[in-house]
Amino acid sequence: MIDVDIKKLAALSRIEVSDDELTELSNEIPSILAFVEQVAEVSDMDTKYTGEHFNVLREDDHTHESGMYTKELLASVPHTTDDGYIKVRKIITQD
Amino acid sequence: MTITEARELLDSKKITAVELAQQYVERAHQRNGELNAYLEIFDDVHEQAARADEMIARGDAQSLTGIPLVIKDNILIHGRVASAASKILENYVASYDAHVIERLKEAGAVFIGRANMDEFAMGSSTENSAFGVTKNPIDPTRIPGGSSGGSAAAVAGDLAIAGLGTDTGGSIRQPASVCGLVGFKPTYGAVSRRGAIAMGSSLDQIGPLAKTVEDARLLFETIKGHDAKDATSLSGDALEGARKVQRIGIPRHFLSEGVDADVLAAFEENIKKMEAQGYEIVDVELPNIAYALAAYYIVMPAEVSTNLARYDGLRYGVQKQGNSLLEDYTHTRGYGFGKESRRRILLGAFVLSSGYADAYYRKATAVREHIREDFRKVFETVDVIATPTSPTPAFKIGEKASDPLAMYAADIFTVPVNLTGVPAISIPMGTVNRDGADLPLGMQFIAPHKQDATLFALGQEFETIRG
Repeated sequence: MIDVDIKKLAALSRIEVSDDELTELSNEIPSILAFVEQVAEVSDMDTKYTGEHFNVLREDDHTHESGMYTKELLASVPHTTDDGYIKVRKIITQD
Repeated sequence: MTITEARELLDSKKITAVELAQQYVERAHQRNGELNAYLEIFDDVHEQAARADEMIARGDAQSLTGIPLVIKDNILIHGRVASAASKILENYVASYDAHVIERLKEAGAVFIGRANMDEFAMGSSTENSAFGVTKNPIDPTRIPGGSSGGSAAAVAGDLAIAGLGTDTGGSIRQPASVCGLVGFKPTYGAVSRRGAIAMGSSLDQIGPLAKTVEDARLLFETIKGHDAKDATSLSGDALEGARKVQRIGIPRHFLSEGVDADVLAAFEENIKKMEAQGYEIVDVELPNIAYALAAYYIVMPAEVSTNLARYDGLRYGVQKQGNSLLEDYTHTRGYGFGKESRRRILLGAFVLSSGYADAYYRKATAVREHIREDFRKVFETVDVIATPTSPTPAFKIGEKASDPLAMYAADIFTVPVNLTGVPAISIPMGTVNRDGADLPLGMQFIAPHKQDATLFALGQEFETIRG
């Protein structure tokens, strides 16, 4: 079975995983991969997307008045400032 | 009671929308403790129903005016909690109405409450909900299917007349099948996904769960249509009129293994009834369909890992803080996501990662195009394809919970439909008695893209022929 670095995947996915769960996933994920890797048996020559939707874009203009939804959206934010910003940790330091 | 029957009662003034809704709210409160179909029974049902009564009094009643519906917990209703049955969103209040909700509100429908589901729509049994499993009303020791198990249980248990679910790999059709209901997955793009919490964006569709094909059709007609705010939405005139079905194709090579003997027997019996009524039954080959489940369990987790990256605790939902920004993320997501969500996010991260994306994700995408081509070729020779919806009747709660692959196998007949974007319907085809309960079984019909109407027409024929 394929060797999977579960810890690295958890870090990439920004998910804290307990040691017990790491052990479980170290068995489960390789066995799921062992099942799905059969797609390798199918040739991928000459396939192209034939669905209905391709690069559906809208005009790059004003969709709504600025500030229309601010109050409502901020109501869901765990930490806000008094003047209507999302508050996050300091991530840039200056030496 | 069906939508059609309720409409007659309401329009002939034999009952008011308020009285009708009250009946459903009372039943919902009575049975929900046992079934756990609803995560929340709304407190404004009376007001909603009163508005419907006003519409009826004005002579403005539409097909769904005053009809009590259940809405899956991953469809946004402005001002209401939408949690996708996840702890990470358990306090999230929707800031807008989903497109389908706007349409239903315009039609005067009444929302009884939001339904339990597998967390973020990932599962086939509703056992992955962060808020407890839902029980199948027909046999409460068994699952109601998933991920729209709460909606299915509410309708099957008569706690709502009909409802909405979402279907990414079978999540409307399979619960419909195991709960004895009609479930419909539209052509991809036929119903706007705006306001449905995204799981697999190239696979998701919102659709109806109801007691009859006609009820499902009425619900579909109200929610379908172009939405300028959903870039994957089909244009208003894209869907075609119903075509007469003469030839039904069965991929028998695909039904030989892993299907419950009673399911196969019921399937064959119903196919014979169709044949006796003049439908031509043809064996068809879908050469790559055996790879559909594998391709799905690569493409879907890949899309899931991307779609669930937004849940970081900063802008909405629950936050668990650590000692740094990174820990804020990892603690929030470690706490907020359930096991199956975590499993699929990690799987998705793997199949997209450098060194593996070619072998897994790119290959799976190529397989997907092969399967689309297989369906296109088969539809040159038959009008619809028929399979059982689910390889088994409702299994016992806990029976498959510890084996992910065994659980994934429940989707074997439904996922090819989402991969290709074609429409499909599940209709009850009989029951099998297990441990003293008559467990429902479902027949799935699959049509070419944009022939949703064909499935409703055929479905009504099937209901008559089945008896």
